[in-house]
Parts: sequence; C-alpha cells; structure tokens
Amino acid sequence: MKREIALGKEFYTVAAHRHGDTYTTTIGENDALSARLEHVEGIDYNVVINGAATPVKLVAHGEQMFIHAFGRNFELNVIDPVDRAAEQSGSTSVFKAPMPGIMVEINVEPGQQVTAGEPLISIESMKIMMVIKAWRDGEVEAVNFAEGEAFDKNAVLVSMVEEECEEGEQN
Amino acid sequence: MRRIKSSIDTGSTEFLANQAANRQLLAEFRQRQDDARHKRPERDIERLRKQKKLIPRERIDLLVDPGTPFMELSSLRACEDYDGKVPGAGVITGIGIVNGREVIIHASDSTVKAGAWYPKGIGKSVRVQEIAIENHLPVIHLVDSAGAFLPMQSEIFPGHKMGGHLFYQQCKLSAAGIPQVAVVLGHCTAGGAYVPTLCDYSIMVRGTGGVFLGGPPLVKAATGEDVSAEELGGADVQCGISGTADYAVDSEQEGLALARELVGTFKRIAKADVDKREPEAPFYDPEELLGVIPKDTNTQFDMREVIARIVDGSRFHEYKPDYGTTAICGYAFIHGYKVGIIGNNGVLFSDSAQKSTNFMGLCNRDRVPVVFLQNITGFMIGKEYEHEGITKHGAKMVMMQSNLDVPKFTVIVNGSYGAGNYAMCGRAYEPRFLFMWPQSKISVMGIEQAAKTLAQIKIASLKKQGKELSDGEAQAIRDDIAHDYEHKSSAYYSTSEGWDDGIISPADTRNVLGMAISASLNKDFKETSNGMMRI
Repeated sequence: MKREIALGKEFYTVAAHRHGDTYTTTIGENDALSARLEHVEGIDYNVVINGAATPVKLVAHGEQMFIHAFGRNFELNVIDPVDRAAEQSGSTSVFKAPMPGIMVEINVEPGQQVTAGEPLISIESMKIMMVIKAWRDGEVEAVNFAEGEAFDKNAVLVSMVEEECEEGEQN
Repeated sequence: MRRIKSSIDTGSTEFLANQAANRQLLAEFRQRQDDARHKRPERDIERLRKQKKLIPRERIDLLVDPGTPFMELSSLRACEDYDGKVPGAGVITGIGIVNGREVIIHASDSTVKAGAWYPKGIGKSVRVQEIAIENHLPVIHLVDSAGAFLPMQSEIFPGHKMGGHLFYQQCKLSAAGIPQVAVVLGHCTAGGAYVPTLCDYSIMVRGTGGVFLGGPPLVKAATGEDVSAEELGGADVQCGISGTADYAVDSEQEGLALARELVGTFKRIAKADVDKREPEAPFYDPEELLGVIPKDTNTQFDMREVIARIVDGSRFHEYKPDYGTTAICGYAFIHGYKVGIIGNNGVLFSDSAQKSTNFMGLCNRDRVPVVFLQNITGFMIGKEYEHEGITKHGAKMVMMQSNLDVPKFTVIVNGSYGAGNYAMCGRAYEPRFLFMWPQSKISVMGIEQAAKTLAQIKIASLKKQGKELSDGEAQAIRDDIAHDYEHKSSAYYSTSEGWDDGIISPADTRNVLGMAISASLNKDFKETSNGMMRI
C-alpha cells in the first residue's frame, strides 16, 4: 500500500509491503527499511526499524495520529491521495440549482466574507426547503435572484469570488 | 474508501434544536414501545403465574444465547387499532441467536387476551413466516394462544393472507428445508393444533400444554363425552400414545432448553458469498443523527451525513457524484458487509433515476446487497421533464429494482411519498426488511396537496347537492381531512398496519441493518450475468 503522510508541514510518500508481521517500508526516494510494530505491556509499543527497537506511545483518531517517540511528540496525518489531488486542483465558485424552485431567503450580500458552513441562501423546490451553505471560505460575488423569484434547473443561484490558485508561491 | 467529511457543526443552534425535537420524538417512541412490551394489567400476569407459566418475554430470554441481541420486529403492530388494547397485536416476533444459529422466534403473547389471534396478529405472524422463507431462517414457535378472537373471525379466517396462510406457509417452510420447532405451552385447539403438528419437532409441557382438534367443552357438547384436557390431548397422550407431538417435558424451562438443544442439531447452512471485511465503528457517532435530521420534515438534509453515521469508518465511495445529484449512490460496508447504498437528496429526475438504475445493475452483477435510504417526495413533474421522458426513466428504475437478485433493505429515514416510495423499494417491492424512523411520513402525496385536493372534491360535491358552505364550514372540512390524512401518514399508523417491520431509533439503524444483512445471507441468491449498459 502507498500512503501520503503529513508530519508537521512536510509531506512524505510512504510505501509499505507486508511480509508476515514486518513491513518493507520505503519513504520517498530513500532506501527501504524493515519496520515492525510490537505491542509491549506497560509502554504501548516498540517500533522495530532494521532490528533496532524504540518505545513509542500512540493515539489514533480517524486519519490523525499522535505519537510520542525519540523524546518528542509528533502529529501525523494520513492524507488520502484523492483528497490531496482534489485540493490542488482548486474548487468551484458557483452553486447551481439542482431543480427548479423559488428563492426564499437571502442571508448574505455581495462582497461579504463568509466562512465554510455559513448559510448563504434558502430555496424551496417541490415542497422541500433547502439551505445553501458556503462550501468554502471566501467572498460572496453575487446572488442572482431576488427573494420570491423563481428559477430554472441549473441556474447559477449564488457565486463566490474565484480563489487564486497560487498556494506556496508567495514565499 | 474515503471517509465522508461531515459539514455538520454539532454545537450549532440548528443542530441542538433538531436534536432536542428529535429526542422528544424518540422518547415518545421508546415509551410507546416499552408500554407495548411490558405494560399489562396485574391480573393477567397473576393468572399466568398461577398456572405456573412464564411471561412470554421470559421464555424468549431463556431461549436465546446469553449476551446476544434479540431483534424484535413490528413491536408496535396494531398500536393504532383495537383502542390500543392489543399491544404488539398479541404476538412477539423477531430474530434471535439460538445455539449459534440465527432463527425466527414466533411467540404468542399470552399476557394479551390469553394470546388470542387478532387480524393484525395473524398479519404479523404471516409476515414473520415470509421473512423465514425469504431468508432461510429456522422458526421456533412458542405456542400459548386461546385461538382466533371469535368476534373478528371474518377478518381472520378465510382470506388469502389470513389464518389458513399460517399453516400453508408452515408446509412451504418444510418443503424448503427450513426446520421448525414448536414448544406447546398452552392449549392449541382446532386450527391452532396444526401449528405444532406441522412442525418438524414439537415439545409439550405436561399440565399446561395441550393439542386437540376439539377441546373438552366442544367434545362434551358434541358427543356428551366427559374428558379432561390432559386425557384428551395432554403432553403424555400426544407424545406417548398418538405420536402427534415428540417430546413431553415437566416444565417450560425444560422445554425451552430442549428446543435450544434441537436447534443445535440443525444443519448448518453456508452463507451466501458476498464481500466482507473486518467491521469498523463509524467515525461519526450515530447518536448525532438526531441533530442531523431537521425538526421540520420539509427541510432538506444531505443524505451523506446520514450515511456517515451508519457505515463502517464513515467511509463511502460515491458513484457518479456529479451526475443526477438528487440520488446519492455508492459503496460502503455495514458491520463488515459490503453494500450499495441509494439515498435521496431531493426529488428523482431523469438523470438521478438513470444513475440509480445503472448503480443497481452494477450491484446486482457484483453480488452487492442494496440498501435504500428513503427521503423522497417523488419524481419531478412538468412539461420539460415529461418531454425528456421522466416516466420512462422512472419505469427503468422500478423495473431494475423489482428484479434485483441481491438482497435489498429499505429504511425510511424521513419522507416516503408517491412513486418515489415505489422506485426506492417500498413495502410492495419486497425488500427483505423495511424499517422506519419515528418522525417519518408515508403517503401517496404530501399532506398539504392531498388535503387540499380531497377537500375541494368534497366541497364541490356538497355544492352540487345545493349546500352552500360558509368559509368556516369549508375550513372545518379541510382541517378534518388534513388531520385524518396526517394521522394515516405517520410512522405509527404505518407500523400499526404492518407496512414496515418496525420503527427503529435512528442511532440503531447501523446495528439493525447489520443483523438484517447477516440474516439475509442464510439464503443464497442467483446471479444474472449481463453486460452493463450505460443508460
């Protein structure tokens, strides 16, 4: 299996191939290591790398892992390759109507800064009320219908100002 | 498979308000279920104790393996009928684990009208036998019934899925190689005598158990013969003289222990081969579902938030996420079993119906059981949609769904209206199991629309007869109709009528589905091999 792992701000590609209870582990372009995790009474685990054992404590929460080893604390995140690729390709700026309906309520104004999850507008279609929430942080560009106005399927209801995709280039 | 990323803020006022409202509905459901299970007049319990009988739920406790769950079905059947006086319709049914086997338990509730058969109780018994047949599950009958409730005999005796069907299905179970055991804990008279007699094995308790075509009073009236119940058809007579039953025991405890031993001798069935892996708890707490479901049933919510709180690790691979977005389709695992899930995020359009149809085709080819999560107001209507063939695309979905070979399961999580109920595998489409959440609504169309239409018709017909109605009178008619319609759209009415296999707490959905899927795999299913057409 191949995983992308974030350790602090650094990303690593880790490949691990299992042989019994031992994994042949390759980190980036480095040489392969032989690694094994042993459960040890009292101290949680021993990680055995190329035969040398080091005691570690670890707590996992979803894809996040907190590790104490070598006298330090590490926070490690397993990154899903699909998520990471999607993140790098930016995200959409408009919300289109999934079905014809009526604009019921507008909660924001053009130019307003919003955070992800904040309600932008409410619409009603086929007897169902739907609250459209900000799908990312950003600035509202426009709401294209007035309260009470009807719209067709696929009409752009609300748009956010395009994100600049130059992450990391400013340093 | 990737983990769903919830966008629900569990500290938001919206979440907390939903949670408070849904907790109240859940508390009401729990209270009604608890009453239906346990609230009985003291004298009825006394009567059983005097006869040295156990309470039916004590019998079930002795029967199932300690520490295993008993998944009760239709616990609130008949809750809106017979003035609420026949809790559970007088029968207890469910799936339990006995000696390591998944079995159907079908027990008379002798704390209710001496276990008499009411029309809805017959319906419940017939349904649990269907479940036994469809899923190849052995049946244990705990028989302690006064027989048909005579004042309602016309609704019990002659029709297709009425009393006679119970015995018919016992014969079909036997032919399908599904073993049945009866433990006779009371008198089985007339038709009731066939229940133990049609089983492969029957156990009778001395003193309280009896099997006879005509009981002592009828014999006396017909022929003048004076005979005691024990002499006529007691355990020793039927097990030792006539051979009508097989094992005579001295107590209920002994009978139940013997039934357990018998189940242990049943042939073990290899389960249907489906994709499995190590189960994993959901990453998002299922209890959060109470805050996910809007307190107003007309408010839309994202079905992915529900899926995230049902499936293993909250992991879900979504199929065709940018197409037909009002249907959410994808793969996940529930208690280690791979499933295909179809959920609603709005009305069904041509594209969402086609996507669902395609997805079901893939599941069927690849032996993946399908779970339907219904929150459906129906199919989209209007000129544009008719012109693009919405009816034909909906028909494809119904066609594919009806003819699935893989087991299918349905949970109505909020609304279930119109043809949406059909396309999404409502009761009429024979899912192996169908459950409902307490706040759900089910009807042919939305309450407001239906009540308006019905009231218009009624008011128009009154006007034809020359009756002029005041605004107040017209409103009263509308209110009456709306009230009746709302009542008959409720989850309680549905479960009372037997349109589902029970109301469940949202947080239990994962466990209930896990047990249901596991039980369903006792019956292998055929495979239809075909190239998958992109439609």
